[in-house]
Amino acid sequence: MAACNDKRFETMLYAYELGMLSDEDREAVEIHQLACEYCFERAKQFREAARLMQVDPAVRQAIRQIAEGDTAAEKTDATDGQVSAVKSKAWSLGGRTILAAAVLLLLLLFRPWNIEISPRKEAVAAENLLAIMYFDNLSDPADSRRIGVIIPSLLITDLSESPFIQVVSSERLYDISKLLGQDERNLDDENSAFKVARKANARWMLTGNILQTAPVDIVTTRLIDVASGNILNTQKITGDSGMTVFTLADSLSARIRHDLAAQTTTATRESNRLVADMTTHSQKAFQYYLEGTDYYRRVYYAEAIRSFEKALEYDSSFAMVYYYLAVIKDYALLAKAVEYSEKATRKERCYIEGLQARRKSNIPLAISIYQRLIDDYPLEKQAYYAMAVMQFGLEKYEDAIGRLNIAITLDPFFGNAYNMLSYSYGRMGNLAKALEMNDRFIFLSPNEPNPYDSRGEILAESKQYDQAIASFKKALEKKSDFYAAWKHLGLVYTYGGDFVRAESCFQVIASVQDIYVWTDGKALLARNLMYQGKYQEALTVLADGAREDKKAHGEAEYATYRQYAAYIYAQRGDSNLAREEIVAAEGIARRFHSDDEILWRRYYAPIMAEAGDFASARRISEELKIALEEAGRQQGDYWYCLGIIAMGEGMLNDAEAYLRKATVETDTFDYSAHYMLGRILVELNRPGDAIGQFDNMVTDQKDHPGNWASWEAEVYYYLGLACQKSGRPREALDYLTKYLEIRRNADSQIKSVIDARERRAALIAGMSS
Amino acid sequence: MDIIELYTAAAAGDQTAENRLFHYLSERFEQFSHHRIWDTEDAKDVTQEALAAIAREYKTIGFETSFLAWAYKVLDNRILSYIKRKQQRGDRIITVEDVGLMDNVSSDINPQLQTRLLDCLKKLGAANRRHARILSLHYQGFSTDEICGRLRMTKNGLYINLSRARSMLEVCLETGEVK
Repeated sequence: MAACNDKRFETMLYAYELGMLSDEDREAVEIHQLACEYCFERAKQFREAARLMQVDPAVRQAIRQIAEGDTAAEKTDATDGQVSAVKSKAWSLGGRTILAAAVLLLLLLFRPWNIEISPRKEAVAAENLLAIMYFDNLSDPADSRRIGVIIPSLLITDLSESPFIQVVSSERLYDISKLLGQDERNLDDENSAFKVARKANARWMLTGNILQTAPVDIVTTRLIDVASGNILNTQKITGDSGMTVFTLADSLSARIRHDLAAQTTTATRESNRLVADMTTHSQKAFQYYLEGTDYYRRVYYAEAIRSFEKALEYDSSFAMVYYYLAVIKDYALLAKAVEYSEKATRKERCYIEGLQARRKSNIPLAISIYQRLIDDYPLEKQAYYAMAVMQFGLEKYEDAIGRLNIAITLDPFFGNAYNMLSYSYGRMGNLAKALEMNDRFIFLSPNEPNPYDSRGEILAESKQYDQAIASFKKALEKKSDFYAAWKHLGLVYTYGGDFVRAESCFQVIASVQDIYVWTDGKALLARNLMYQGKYQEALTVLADGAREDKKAHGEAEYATYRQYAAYIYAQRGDSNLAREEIVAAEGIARRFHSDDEILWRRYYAPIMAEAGDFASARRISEELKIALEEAGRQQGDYWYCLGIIAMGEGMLNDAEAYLRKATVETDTFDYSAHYMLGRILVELNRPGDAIGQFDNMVTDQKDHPGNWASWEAEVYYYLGLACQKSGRPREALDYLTKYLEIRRNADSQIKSVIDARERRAALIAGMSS
Repeated sequence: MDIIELYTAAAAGDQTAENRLFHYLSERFEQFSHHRIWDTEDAKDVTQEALAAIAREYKTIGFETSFLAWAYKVLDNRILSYIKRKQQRGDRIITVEDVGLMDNVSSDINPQLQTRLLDCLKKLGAANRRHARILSLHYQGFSTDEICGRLRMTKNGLYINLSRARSMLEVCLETGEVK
C-alpha cells in the first residue's frame, strides 16, 4: 500500500481521532481518508484504541495521573547565554535625566531628520483609552512613601486587565511627559495633565488626590472626559485600619470600572483578580519594583538591579522583578519569572513568554506572542522593539525597520531602536542610512560607549576597517572596560592578520574577575589561535579555561571549551579524544542548556560525526529534528547534520543532497552549510560550483561561533583548490597565498597547510616556465 | 481499481464495480459517523440513509466537484440533521462524557486491549511527556487553541507531538515496547 501523499493529514490523524480538530479540519481529514487508503487503514487499525482513549474512564484516569505527576516534577532550567546576536543594552551608567530645556533643544535639533512626534494612526489604540495620572499627595507633598505613585500604578495594572478599556501605560505617560518637557510625577496643574492625556489620545483621564494617609487613607479621584473637560464621576475611598494600598486600589478599581461601564456600551463582565495577585502583596516590594523600573527606563542598570534585588527581599515570588533581572543581569532568573508568572498581568505574561520562547530559539512562537501583544496593546514600544529584534535575527531587515519606525514614532528618544535601525540598514547594505541612525543614537547618548561600538561593527561589516578601529577605540575612551568593544576590536585585528594585537584585546577580556566575562575571553583567545591553525596552543588555552570553570563553579558549566577541543581533535584525526571531549560537552549542555534544545545539538552532532561516532551523531540529529519540529522551525539544521554524517561515511552524493537542503530550508544564511557544500563539491570535482559557494564565505565576516574560526581561514584554501581545478591559476595563487599568510605559524602537521604550500610552489613554477 | 475508477465503472453500469464502490464507502462512512454519533445503532442508521441517497442520485447528477466530496457532503448533512433533530426534541445528544458512563459502551471494551493500552501509556509517559498533558487538558474541556496557549506550543507543534505519540503507541501495542 502506498504511503500517504499528504503528510499534513497524517500528522493530524491522532488529533482527529481524539476529537481535537475544528469542524473544517475534521472535514478535510475525513475527505482525505475517503481517497487515501493508507490513512484510512491506519485509522481503522487504531480505532478501538482511539475509542478507549476517548471514553474509557480507566484510560482517562491514567492519563490524568501521568500528567499530574509530570507537572509536579517538571522544572525549567535556564542558563546564561546570548539571546540576540545584537546587544541591545547600554553599559554605562552615567546618563542624566533629560531636562526640559534639553528636551526642547533636542526637539529643535531633530527637526532636520523629520522625526514624527505624534503617534501614527495605526499605532493609536482603541477608542476606550484611559490615562491615569499620578496622584497628588496633599497630606505629604514630598510623597515620601510614594503613595501618589503606587496607587495609580496599581490602578494601571488592574485596569489593564480589562478587555474593554485600554489604559495608557506608565511608560507611555513617561515618554509623552518627557516629550512635552514635563515630569509626569509633578504635573503642575490640570492643564499639563490634559496635555499629556490628549497627546496620548486618551478618551478619559483619571486624576486623584490623597487627602490623608494616617490613621487611615482617604483618596479621591475624578474621571474626566478629555475632549470636553467634563467631570464624569468622582469617587472617595476612606480606608479602614485593615486596608492596604492593594485593597484600596482594588476598591477604587472596581468603582472606576463601574463608572467606565456607564460610559461605554460594552458589558462589564470582567475578571475579578485582585491587583495584589497580579503584582505583590508587599508594599515595600512594589515600591522598590517601581523604583527599579524607573531606573531601567533610564538605562541605569546597576541601580535598577539593586532596587529589584531589594524588592525580592520583601517578596521572593514577584514575577516581573525576575523578568527584568533576567534581561539585565542573569538569564537564569527567567525560570523564576516563568514559575511565578500567574502573579503577573496578561501583558506582562506575554513578555515573559516571549523571552522564554526566544531563549528556546522558538522564533515563530516568540513572534506570535509579540504580535499578540501588539494587537492587544498597540502603544507598547517595547513590543515593537522585541518584534524587530526577532525579525532582525531572521534577516528580515525591512520588517524590522517597519517595526522600529513605529517604536520611534511612539518615543523619538528610544535610543535602542535607533541602534537596531542602524544595524538593520547596515545589513541591507545601506551604509549611509545606517550611519545616520547611528548618529541619532550617539546624539541621544553621547557619553555612552555602546553607540560608538555599534558604529564600529557597522563599519567593520562594510569593510571600512580603519574607521571601525577608530570607533572601537572611541568606545573604549568612553568606558575602558566595555568588553564588547575589546572583542570587536580584536576580531577586526584578527581578520586583518594582526594576530598579536588581536590577542592583546582578548587578553583584556580574559583577565577580568567576572567569571562570565573572562569565560568569553578565554574562548576568544582560543578562537584566535584556531584561526591561525595553532591548535596545540589553543588546546592549552581551552584546558586552562575548563579548569578555571570547574574551580569557579564546583563543576564544569561552560561546554564551549570542550566543544572547541573536540573540534580540534577531530581535525587532527584524534577520534577518541574528539569523542571524549564532545561527550563531556554534551553532558554539560544537557545539564545546563536544556532550555535551548536546538542550539547545542546543531553543533554537537556534526562534531560527533567528524569524530567517527555516527551512531551518536544520528541520535542527536533525530533529537534535533524533533526539537525543530516542535519549535515550528525549518529543518535546515537537521539536514546539515545528516550531510556531515554522510560525508564522514564517504557518501558524497547523499551529503551534497542533504547540504543543499540545508542551505534552502533555513530562515537565515547558513554559513556552515554553504562551507561544507563547497567542500563536497571540490571532492566531487565540480570546482566551478564550489567557487560559487565559497564566494559567499569570504564576504561574510560576521561574528561567527568559534568552531568556525578555522573555516574562516580554510575557505581560502578551498577556493585556491577550486580555482586551480578550474584552470584559474592566478586566482588560485592569490587564495593560497592568503591562506598561507593566515596560517604562517600554524602547527606543522596540518594537511591543508602542507598541501597549500606544495600547490603554491607548483603554481609559481608553472607560471615561471 | 482506485475509487474514482470504481465510481466511473459503477456509473457506467458495472454492477460489480457498484457493489465494491458502496462497500468501500460503507466502511468509511461508518467510521466517520461513529466519530460523531456515539450511539452505535444511530450511527449505522445515519450511514445507511446516506448510502441510500447516494445510490439513488449518483448516476444522475453531473458533478462539478468530485464524487467523493459530494458523497461526503451527503453523509455530513445527514449527521447534522440527526443532531438537529435530537436537539429539537430536547433529547440529549450522547456526548463523550455520557459514553463513559453507559453500560453498553463499557461492555464493548476489549479488556486485553485496555490492559495493553494502559501499560503503553505509562511507558509513553516517560518518553513523551507532553502527550499526557495535552490529553489531560483536552479531557478537561480546553480547546486546542487554549491547550497550545497553556503549553506554549504552536498548533502544528501540537499535532506533531500527538502524531509521534500515536506512532509510539502503535508500536507499543504491537510489541510491548516504546521506541
